[in-house]
Amino acid sequence: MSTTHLKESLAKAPETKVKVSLELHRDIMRAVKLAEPVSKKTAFYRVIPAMGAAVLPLFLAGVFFYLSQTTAVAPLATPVQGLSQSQSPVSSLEQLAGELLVLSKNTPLPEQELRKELERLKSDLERFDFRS
Amino acid sequence: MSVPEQKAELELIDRARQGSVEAFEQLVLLYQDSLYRFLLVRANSRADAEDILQETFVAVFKYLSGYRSKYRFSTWLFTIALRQLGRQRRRPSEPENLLDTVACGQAGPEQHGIEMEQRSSLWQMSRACLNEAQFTALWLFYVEDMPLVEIGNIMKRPASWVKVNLMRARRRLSKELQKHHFEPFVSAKEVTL
Repeated sequence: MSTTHLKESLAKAPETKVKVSLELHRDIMRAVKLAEPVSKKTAFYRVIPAMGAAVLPLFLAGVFFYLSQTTAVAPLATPVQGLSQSQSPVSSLEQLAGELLVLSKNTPLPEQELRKELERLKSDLERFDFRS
Repeated sequence: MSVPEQKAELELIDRARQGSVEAFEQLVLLYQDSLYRFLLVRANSRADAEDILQETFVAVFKYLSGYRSKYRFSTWLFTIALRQLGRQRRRPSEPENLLDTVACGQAGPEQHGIEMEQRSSLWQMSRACLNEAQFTALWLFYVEDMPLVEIGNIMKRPASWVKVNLMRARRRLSKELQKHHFEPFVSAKEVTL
């Protein structure tokens, strides 16, 4: 059986001669008449998703730019209960007093004024000393 | 299909798009027989084939506005029919030997002699020994006389895939026929399509 013969045999088989009955055709047309065609989308409704697709990358670019401009702050592992001993204002003032004493020895400022300043600082220290 | 026929078909489609049921009926008359045969050899029963045919034309009517004329109308039609067939197959149904029914109901072997019996059994054998894709490609190529590209569009495959599967289908049929003491379909030189 050649290719041509095969083609002929397949094409002329009884299965290829079946026709739709009039009754079935009527059923089809009855169903078609009951169906409503889906209306074609107007230009307006086709534009809206396109606009969304165009705006989304712009929005994402804006968000990315904003995030890149802000600095990330890592949260502390443990919550701060208060200032440590070394960070307390008292400690800083004591240090400052010491520095002023050294300064007073090295500078030609009148000693009387420096002593006044020292007294003021000492009184401040006593006032702000939370440990007492 | 000739150019004037294509033009006439496009005119019918345009009129049907505008809501003309008469124009759509002309389209139905053009394709209902070929589509029915295509479905009849695949569906589980004659009733299923009739249902799918009806559902296909209803879907075509509903979504005709979505048809793009760069494809042939038959391509679109057969694609929808295959999709409807897929849906129908997922539903449970009573199987029925359709090919026997077709042969007896239309032009049975008793009426047309041994040659007709062989032709009929050819499709029965094809259905039994080929896979779904090969059977579909073989039907569209030999019965509907569709070009490879169009078959590829319907089956969502490239034309080369269709060509290879047609060749495999013919080789497989040839082997089956040899088993049943028929002459082989194709020699090694004849496998080109």
